[in-house]
Amino acid sequence: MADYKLRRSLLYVPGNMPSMLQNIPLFQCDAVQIDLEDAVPLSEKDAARILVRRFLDNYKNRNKEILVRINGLDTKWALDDLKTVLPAIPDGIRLPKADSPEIVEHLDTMLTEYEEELGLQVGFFKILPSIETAEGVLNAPKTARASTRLIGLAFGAEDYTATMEINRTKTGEELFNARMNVLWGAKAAGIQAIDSIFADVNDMESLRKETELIKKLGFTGKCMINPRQIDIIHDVFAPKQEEVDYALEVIEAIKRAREMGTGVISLKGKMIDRPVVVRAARVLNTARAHGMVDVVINEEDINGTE
Amino acid sequence: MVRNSLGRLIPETFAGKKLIPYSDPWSLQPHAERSTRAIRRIAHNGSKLVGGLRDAIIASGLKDGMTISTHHSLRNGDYLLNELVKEIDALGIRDIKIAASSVHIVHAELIPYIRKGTITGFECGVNGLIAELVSKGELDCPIIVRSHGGRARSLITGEVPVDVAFLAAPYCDEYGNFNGFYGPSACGSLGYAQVDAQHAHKVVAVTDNLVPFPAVPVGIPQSVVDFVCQVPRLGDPKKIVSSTTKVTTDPIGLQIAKYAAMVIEATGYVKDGFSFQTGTGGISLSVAEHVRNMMRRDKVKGSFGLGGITGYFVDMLEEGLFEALFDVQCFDLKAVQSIGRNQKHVEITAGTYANPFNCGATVNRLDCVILSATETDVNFNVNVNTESMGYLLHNTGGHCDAAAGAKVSIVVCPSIRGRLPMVRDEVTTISTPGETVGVIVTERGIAVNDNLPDLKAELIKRGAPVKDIRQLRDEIQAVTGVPKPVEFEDKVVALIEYRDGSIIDVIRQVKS
Repeated sequence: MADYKLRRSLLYVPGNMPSMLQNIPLFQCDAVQIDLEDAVPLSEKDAARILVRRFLDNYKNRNKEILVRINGLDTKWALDDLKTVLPAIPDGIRLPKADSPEIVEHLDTMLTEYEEELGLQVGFFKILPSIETAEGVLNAPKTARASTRLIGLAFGAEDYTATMEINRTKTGEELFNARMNVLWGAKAAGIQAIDSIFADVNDMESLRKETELIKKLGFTGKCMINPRQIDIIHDVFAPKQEEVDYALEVIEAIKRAREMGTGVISLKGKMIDRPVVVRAARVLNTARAHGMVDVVINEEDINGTE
Repeated sequence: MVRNSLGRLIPETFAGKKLIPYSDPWSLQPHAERSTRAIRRIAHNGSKLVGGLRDAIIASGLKDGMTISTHHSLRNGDYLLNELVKEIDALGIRDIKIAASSVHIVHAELIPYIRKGTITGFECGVNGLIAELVSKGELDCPIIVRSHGGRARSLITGEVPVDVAFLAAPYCDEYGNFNGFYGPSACGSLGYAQVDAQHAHKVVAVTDNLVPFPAVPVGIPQSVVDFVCQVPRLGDPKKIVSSTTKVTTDPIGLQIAKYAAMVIEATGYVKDGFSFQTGTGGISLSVAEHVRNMMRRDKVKGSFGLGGITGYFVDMLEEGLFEALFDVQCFDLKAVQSIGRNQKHVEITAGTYANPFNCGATVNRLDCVILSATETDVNFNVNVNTESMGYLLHNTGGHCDAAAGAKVSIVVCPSIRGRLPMVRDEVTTISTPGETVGVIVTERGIAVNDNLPDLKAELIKRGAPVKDIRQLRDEIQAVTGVPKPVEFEDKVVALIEYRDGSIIDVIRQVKS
């Protein structure tokens, strides 16, 4: 089943900063990734874990998707991270250094155990793996199919350039092939593709350019490190009015087709079938988040009834 | 003791004066003439130059028990008030009251002279250490905090008779014409000093920049100035125009600014003729940036920008977004430079700006004003005077004046400072009554006063995060808990005077 959940903007929040955690409910990003990994110094790993647990326990009216970036499965902290935060029911885990499908499978198994223990439906906890090394990029197509928990693949350009021993530039030519491999992997598996952070929080112009580029390539969202970046990312991902108008026409057309007992119809001389409808549904869901339309597109609109 | 209409206990008298308890923002009517001062005729071709500060004090006839004033346009760069009090003390004069337009942190140097009895009272708001020590009971010196409009009123009505005004004059000639536009201590508008120049019994222009006659343009004219005296320096230029005039980069501040901009847009006033006032804080400037973008987008030609003026407003004027700026004080160098060369950038007096007792203050023509707060409460009352420990630390400035004047007054305030909630059941000190506050904007939501139902409906329609003020308080307290109230002694150490002269609140000594 295609996942239409909007994930335009995924904000990293350091897990060891109470003043920043308390503001999570306030920002209008689609998801937060509470970080227990790189943002937290070694001396604060335990404290951060407990702080995040307390915060999540008290964050009752969740208004965005909550992912927790645990420490890598090859570290001594990962197990404790999971044990501490999962009972507070985050939506999923951002898994760093997902270099191979086996790493994702390993996490999948662990999550199943926790779900059984916590009385949750198996598959409740989602996984967003970070593709952030050369190996990870090579394995991305396989990793993308490693678990049904995957909501997408997330490209991590900072670590990727480090493992490649190259510098990251603002124009990003050095990332092109890696981004494409992540995209192909994700798209082939029918999951989302999330782009890396843009590190210079004062350069809004370059952020906009990079976001425009990755949107054009096919990414559905972008990670970020500062809430100031949310508006620009959303602005870039906002559909154009003509896209919205066309999408509405597509949905109307396919509904008419279904009434006539077919799954294909012509609209202004162009064939409308399922892939076109899926794209239209995605446009309308994004448009809804931007307050441009009120319509809710459901599975029935896309697939018809049996 | 009597309770005013906001439930605050007000003594019947303070520092020998009978007090009027606050009742509401609008109904108090004055029944008096404007204050007068002696007519004089000076010797034809006589010189007004009297030498230094000490000579000026002697020439002015200052005596024990009198009241002096200065203006605060040099802000924390001001040397004059400190020097003046030193000279007064050296002359053996005692029991002097200060009725400056504001006393700043730099004036903590006055503390020894308060202890000594040279200075025995402040007929004006006081920022910083002096006020804190008075709050703690460590300094015995009554303070009456007045708003900008309220201070102008108190001089114009003669409630506060200023015996001698010593007015820093950055560009001055020997016959007493001066302005604030040029010179090493240039500060721009002399809006506050204008009131003193008209109403003090004696006026001394104090300058570090004596220029050949005539000093033009004439801000304050020779016809009201008794003496001119020279000092080496009036102030430190770096601190005269030192306000932080940068847009905030704090995500919380930016979110507050974004919400405030939504409120301004929802008022429907952003169209030709729009008028606006905002402060110098990072959030206020961020709101100003939003407003500028809105005005550009909709091709709006506003009528005027008001208040303390910053470079942001100057840019908007020069871009053609406003017809004029009305400037009672300049907050940065760009504003100082602008007022000296642009006739659309107009110096106005504090009385014209905000005095409630005249034929109409400029604040009355405001569509929207952005105001800050140290605390707010569920009745929309705002505190800008005392901080979390209960100490008096800040002046009211134009806060209550602009709130009363504007069609929509918008208070921007982070919901949490340190670990303290900023929307409370009751503010520690009421500086501005809730009746005159339209909207309180925090990063957690927007609370609209019940007296603006149309604005509330419009904001809800636009999908803005409108919340009941009590809901907002509860949400904040869920994070912070409810702080233990600060405890006070019975002793009243300062008054918070409302702009009309009634007493809206008092400052009591903090229990140690």
